[in-house]
Amino acid sequence: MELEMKENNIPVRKENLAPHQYTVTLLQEGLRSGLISKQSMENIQTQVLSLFKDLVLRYTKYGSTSVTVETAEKLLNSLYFALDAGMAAADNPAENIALLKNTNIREIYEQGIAVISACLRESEKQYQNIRDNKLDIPLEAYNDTLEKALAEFFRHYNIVFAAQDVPASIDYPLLYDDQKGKGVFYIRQYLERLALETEFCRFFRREEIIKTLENYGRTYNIVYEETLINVCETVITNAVFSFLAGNTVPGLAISRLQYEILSEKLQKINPAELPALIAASLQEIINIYPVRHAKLREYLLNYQDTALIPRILDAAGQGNFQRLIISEAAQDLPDSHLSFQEGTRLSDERFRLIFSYILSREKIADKLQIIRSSIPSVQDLRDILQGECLFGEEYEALFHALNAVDLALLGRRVFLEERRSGPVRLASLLTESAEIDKGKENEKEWEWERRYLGFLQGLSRKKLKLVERYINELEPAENGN
Amino acid sequence: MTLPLVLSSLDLVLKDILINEIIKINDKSRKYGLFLSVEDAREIIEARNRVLRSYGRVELDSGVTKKLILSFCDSPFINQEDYAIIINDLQEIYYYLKNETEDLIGDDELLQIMKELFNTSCGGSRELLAGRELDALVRDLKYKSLLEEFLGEGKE
Repeated sequence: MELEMKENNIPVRKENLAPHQYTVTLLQEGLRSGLISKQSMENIQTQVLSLFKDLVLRYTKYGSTSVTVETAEKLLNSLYFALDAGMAAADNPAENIALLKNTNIREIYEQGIAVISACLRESEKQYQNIRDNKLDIPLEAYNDTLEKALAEFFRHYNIVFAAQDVPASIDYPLLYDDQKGKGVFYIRQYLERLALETEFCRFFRREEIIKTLENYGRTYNIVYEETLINVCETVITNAVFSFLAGNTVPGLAISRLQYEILSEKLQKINPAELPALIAASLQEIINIYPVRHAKLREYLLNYQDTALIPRILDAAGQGNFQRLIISEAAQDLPDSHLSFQEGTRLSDERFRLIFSYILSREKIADKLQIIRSSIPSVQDLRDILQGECLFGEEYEALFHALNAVDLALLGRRVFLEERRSGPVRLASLLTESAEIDKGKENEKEWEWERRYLGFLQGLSRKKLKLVERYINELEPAENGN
Repeated sequence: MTLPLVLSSLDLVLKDILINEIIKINDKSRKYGLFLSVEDAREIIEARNRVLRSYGRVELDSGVTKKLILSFCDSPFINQEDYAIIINDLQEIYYYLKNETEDLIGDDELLQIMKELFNTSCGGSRELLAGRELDALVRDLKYKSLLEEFLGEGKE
């Protein structure tokens, strides 16, 4: 009777319940509010303990009764993940507290395992759909996430012993991502959002998307293929501006002239009026675009309110839309693939000046800045390196700042001899170089070359392959290399 | 119920059960001239809990301590005077090995190996058991596991 009165009188505070630690926080809250008595709590804990013991035994294949603390934590988290899933059907905390008190905990656990299994099957189907409809774009993170990481997740996900884990590195960023999500529930929301973004992007022509991404790369001076860019964000932003520039939907291209006019127009508008203008533009795109799902409409509008409008207001505040509106004007900027180019050389006098300046700087950041801004060609960069105006770890900092193409341009010089016998295979060359290092007779003449080899040895296999590809495939337009 | 909570409630639940179970083993060990007092049993459990904590392990059952005492109580190398001390040392060696062998050997098999070595090549020396014999076992096991990993990769 007393309990019933408490049940009626003391509410559970929903704000005290953590969605990703639901059962644990619900039990705490139940005890605090008096909905769970001390005796009930002990009964629940005993049942959880018994389940936990079974799980440990299953994990050790009934061969061991003890495990490391790390394993125990992993198994306990997996158990609670299943209990959370088992109670997800009832959204009401009071109902769930009653469930914990009156139902065998093992039943809730098994119900949770069934929910997780169903979610896994559903997510796998969703994954196959997205894969079948994937965008044909050269974004590494996008392709790797779809082809490798997600496949790896479905291969390695363990419902019983590590249900809360995501055993894969999902690199491709979404417009919004709930990073707090765990296990297959995280993957489900990731795939749902990726499906929406893919559906939206498929409305636009592939060539236009790629052109926009290329211009994006030039605008930000990055190799866009290797960068963690969300393609939907680039597409939606440019679609809005392309529409404002007078193009028909669906269009992404913005010419130089259109950019000039649009930029001037946007700067003249009172910033307070900008949100309405953008909203009207996106609404128009949504009206023309066959948005089948209300979810997609909601998703796009949410992006508009939380990210697009603030970015536009920010750009308006700075009086510069160049980095927000990706236009063909970006084609005037140097291609980030070739931030150092072959050919154009510094005059001797200018070279000496830059060399002395670099030598006089103490901070590596200053040295890197002058190298980036004043050295046009890779031959000049090599001369600078051969002048030994960098010291110790500064070489590594410089190599870190270079993209794969720049590294490859240097690599073409380092592996000049090796390239004469055919395409270079970096993995085997680096193994040989490590062997030579052990014998203390590194055959490379210059310190920067030896440092370069050391730097390559620390690169991921993927990045190394990319550098190797560029070394072998870059046009041999340079002099003497 | 987080892991520390699980552990503290386990300690409470297991302590009394385990003391009783250890005392019951005296029925068997008496014929070898060995027995443990309630105080000894309590000390063995406390030592077990300390060792588990120091080796970063969690045990949800008292079975291993019981099995360990049962395995060694007929050893010709254990006298009543150092019986409890030896059991405590053997517990420590056991959990050290569980970590070092990365849980590749099950409880029963590991206890069997320890008993075999203790009663034969070690001549009852805990130092030899923990040092020479079991170090060699760990080395062999790690080598075997590396070899399997290597051969496994080769097959891929």
